[in-house]
Amino acid sequence: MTDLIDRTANPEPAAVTPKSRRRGIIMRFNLLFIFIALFVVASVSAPQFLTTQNMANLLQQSSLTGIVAIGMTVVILTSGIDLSVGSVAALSGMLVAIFIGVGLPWPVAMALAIGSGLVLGGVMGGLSAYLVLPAFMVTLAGMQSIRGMTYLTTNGTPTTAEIPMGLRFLGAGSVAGIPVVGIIFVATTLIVGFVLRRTTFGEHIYAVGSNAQAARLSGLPVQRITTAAYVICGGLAALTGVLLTARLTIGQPTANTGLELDAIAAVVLGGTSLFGGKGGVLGTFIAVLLLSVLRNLFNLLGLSSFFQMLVTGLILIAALIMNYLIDRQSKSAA
Amino acid sequence: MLTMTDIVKTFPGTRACNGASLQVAAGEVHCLLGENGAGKSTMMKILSGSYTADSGTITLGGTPMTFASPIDGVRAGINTIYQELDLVPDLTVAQNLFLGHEPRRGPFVHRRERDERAAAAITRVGGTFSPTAVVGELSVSDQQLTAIAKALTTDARIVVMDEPSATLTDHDLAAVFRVIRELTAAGRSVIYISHRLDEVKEIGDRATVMRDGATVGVFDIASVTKEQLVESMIGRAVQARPPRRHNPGSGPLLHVRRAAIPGVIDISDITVGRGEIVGLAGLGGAGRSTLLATIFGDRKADLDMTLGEEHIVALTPRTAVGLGIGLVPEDRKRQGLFLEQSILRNAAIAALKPWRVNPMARAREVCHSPLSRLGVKFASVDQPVGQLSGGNQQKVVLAKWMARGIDLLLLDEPTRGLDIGAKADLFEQVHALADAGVGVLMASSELSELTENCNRIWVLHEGRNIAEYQPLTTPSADIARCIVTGRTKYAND
Repeated sequence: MTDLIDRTANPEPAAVTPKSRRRGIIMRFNLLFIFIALFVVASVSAPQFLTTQNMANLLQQSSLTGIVAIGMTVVILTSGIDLSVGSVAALSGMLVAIFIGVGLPWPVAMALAIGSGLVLGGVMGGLSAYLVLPAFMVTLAGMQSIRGMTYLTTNGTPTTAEIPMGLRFLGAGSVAGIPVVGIIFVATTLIVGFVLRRTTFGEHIYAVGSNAQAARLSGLPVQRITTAAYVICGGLAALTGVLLTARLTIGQPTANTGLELDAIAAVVLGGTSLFGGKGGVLGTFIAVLLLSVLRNLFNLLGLSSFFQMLVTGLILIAALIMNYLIDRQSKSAA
Repeated sequence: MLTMTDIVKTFPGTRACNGASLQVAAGEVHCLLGENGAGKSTMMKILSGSYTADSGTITLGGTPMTFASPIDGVRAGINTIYQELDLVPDLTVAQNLFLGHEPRRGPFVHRRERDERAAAAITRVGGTFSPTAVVGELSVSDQQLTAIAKALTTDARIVVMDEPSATLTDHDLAAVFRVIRELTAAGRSVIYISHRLDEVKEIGDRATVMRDGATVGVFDIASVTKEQLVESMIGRAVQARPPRRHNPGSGPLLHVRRAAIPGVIDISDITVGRGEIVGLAGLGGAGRSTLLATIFGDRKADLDMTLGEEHIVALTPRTAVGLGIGLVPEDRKRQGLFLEQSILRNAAIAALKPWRVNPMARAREVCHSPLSRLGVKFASVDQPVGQLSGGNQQKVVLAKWMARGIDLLLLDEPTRGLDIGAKADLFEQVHALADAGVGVLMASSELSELTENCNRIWVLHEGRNIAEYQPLTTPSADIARCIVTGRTKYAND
């Protein structure tokens, strides 16, 4: 942790040019460094840590939050926020079970469930973008009402379904010892990362998050771009819900409570600015793994989840301080 | 009264002040001159306590001072009016003026006294707005007057004005000059930063010129010519201005038959030909910016205009850009730039084609030419644009439209806060665009800028376009009179 602060406080006296880029790398590198350090500590202090079984578990656990966090990164890059992801995931988890229960083929059921996430994301993002309503409030309202909708689907009881093999495989299967959800998480990160860094749409996301007014006056379809970010986030949240139901073979209306906070924490820890325009999915990816390794380590050491909460909070504060220091440095250089 | 000696201040990568000195006597207007990046603002931030100098001494009235924070500067009697206005937009004028030192009765704010004193302060600087007006809803010019009035509510020994005229109309500036003279008559000192040498000659007593972070000369303004000052600022003799263009334009491009927003503007029949540069002159609030915003689709209005072959009655910025219109907005930081993003991103953002893979690779080439033609000084195109000086930032905003390719360029106060060199670079490219057939419509509160660069000038007054002038055949004084009085020469007869 001291390394994290020292590095930012004493940046190497470099020429102006690559400094900002190098700073960005230092920022990511720091997180990666902490991650590796934690990994080493975990391997040494808990012999079961480095087993294949535990690694698979770890990936399995982190992937669901991770997929949501990737979607959340896109929304936060536009300087928005989506508090409804947990509810959207729960609803879609219920829907997929119900659809399969009434005899729909699983790919159709899955598509419909994910479609519900896309639509809900579009509605909330659209309200926020076109009517200029604060995203915080719109998605808070969404979080409440979608959770309500979820309970209403079965009047609050869990619904069991014969999950077909194909869907079971997506949620709980593994390929060469690697959980399929882990592969989905990595693929999601790569695809979204590519879209953000290598497409016009990605450039537009950063522009809107950086200065929406300047983006509008540059002729960008700001409202459409913002809405699209929420559609992506809603879709990925719904995908998570489907995968969870596939693994548990049961649709739980109470599932994924608090998921939004885990996702936001990972995004911020990953270095994406809550004010938008800065950051990316790579940081989020590492942050998700870091938080799971931490949780895993505490479990293996038999320490209570109370410690886990405390340390997670402290890490977040440290990450925020790091971002603040980096920001101050780049501002005074201007 | 104030002496700053051998001030050194280093930022990572740059040395903003390198042994700069400044001496200000009591009761004088001391002008601080220099190009953008010469270190003027840094010196003033050190003086106000926003920055701490690496080395050097500051004495005030013979006492050595160390300022650790802006509060220390204010306590010592130094009050700064920044270029970036430090007002709270959601509060009223009166609330802003007395922020932190509200008139009180016990624990309660004495509202009436505050409003009365605020009204007096506004009148003193020549403002005509109410003390209960919300600052964010005032025009930029009135906001600047508020900032000046605010500086006067504290008992400052030294008032620093960082380019007040950049956002003021000539009319408002006269009131500010009157206040400056009152201040100096009362033994206070004013440090006045401006790029406009006419003002410096008018209001200043002495001038300190800075270049590359160091003080290169101190002049008695009465006995120095503008050319000598410029030479000292840029370190070489000034070249004669290139001759004014006479390009009459080649065929119609834009015809605004009507643009009206009830109670704001009511414009009829303004045309811009291909290759023509048309100026919009007027006082603050005359409707110049609103007209440009309307043509760009940023303000909803009753609109009837033709651009090329296209008949337009309603548009948004997005469709406007699609039609080949580009706007360089008045407030480049808030409206024109993505400050923490790279220069490349800023320049390329309007030129990116949708649904492309790796659009930046191509943008790198497309943006290279406008950036280098404009002479943008940067270490790398991947550097955040916020690190550039104001002049270079403005060039990046223009480069955005050059990279995109446009038919009609709208410029709203394009040289606000720019130094002489940056202005020349900017106009050179604007003229080059015009020569290539782009029509230009430019609003400016600097009349000389319009007369030097425009084929025709429209004067706007209270939202109407009242008179059109040919700067080649009309004396500037006639245009200036029309701007202020709203009456054409003929209307008087």
